[in-house]
Amino acid sequence: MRREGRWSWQDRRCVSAEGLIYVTAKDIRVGQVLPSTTHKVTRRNILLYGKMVGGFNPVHEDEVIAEELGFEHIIAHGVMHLNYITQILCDFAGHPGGIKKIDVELLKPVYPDDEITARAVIETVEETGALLTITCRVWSEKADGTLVIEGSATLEIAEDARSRA
Amino acid sequence: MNKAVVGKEYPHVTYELTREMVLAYARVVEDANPFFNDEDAEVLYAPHTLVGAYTLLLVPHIVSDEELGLDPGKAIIHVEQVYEWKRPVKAGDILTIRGRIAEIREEGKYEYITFVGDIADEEGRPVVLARSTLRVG
Repeated sequence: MRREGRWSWQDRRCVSAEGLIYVTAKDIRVGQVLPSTTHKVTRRNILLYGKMVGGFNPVHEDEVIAEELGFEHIIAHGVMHLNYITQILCDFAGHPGGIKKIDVELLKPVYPDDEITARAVIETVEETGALLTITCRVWSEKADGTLVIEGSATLEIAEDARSRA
Repeated sequence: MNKAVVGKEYPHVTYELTREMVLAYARVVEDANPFFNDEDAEVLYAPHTLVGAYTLLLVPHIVSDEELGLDPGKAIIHVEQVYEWKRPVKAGDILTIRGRIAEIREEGKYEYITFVGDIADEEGRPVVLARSTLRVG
């Protein structure tokens, strides 16, 4: 997995690819791009994931059936690579409780060896007392730019959690 | 698919989210965040989609529901997903999923089925709402 920007878990600061350090509410702004991540999807992880969720669907397991149904290969579970997006949101929010909602469309099948980059950009920031409510546009794409997932997410971040640095 | 089954509820599923499940899940989705990986932490949180993955456990009930009449020989693909987290999910949570069919629609050569999973803790407090749409065809 590659990661743009650097993170420090000890002090909950983020240094993004743009070089910003987020420590207080005023540093979070509309248009801000969250650090992205890129994962290479493996056949092994798809098969493991299928076992974990009860393996009911041959398009995730059986190459022959997947091809008969019109796919190039077995396809990754959407929920598996949706986590690539919640991962960057959680990293940014600083705590698992920071993600309130995600609403996405899964647009294209993801195959073994695809490289998927998860991205998010802040669209609105609303401050209520010490609580910031942030909405993001979120998406993921293949190495050739093909959109895989697209949608929105809502985060809530308490200001004190971000200024503890 | 038989649209008369919209609103139908499926048997509740209860499971305990173990530390092993959380750690294995974090590995398979390659989420390195220490909140999901620190074996020695007092509280081990679950990656956000884990609990949603368990709503997928409803799908075999749906696929095999004769009253619904979904053709299991067709491609069944996950095309839309909403999660609302009321609180973070953590290892040790005992969660109950109530599943129901929310919508069935047709568009072009495809049929779409949307089901909702209400996930609650032992005290019956809501934890996650999951709304999933599958495309069939």
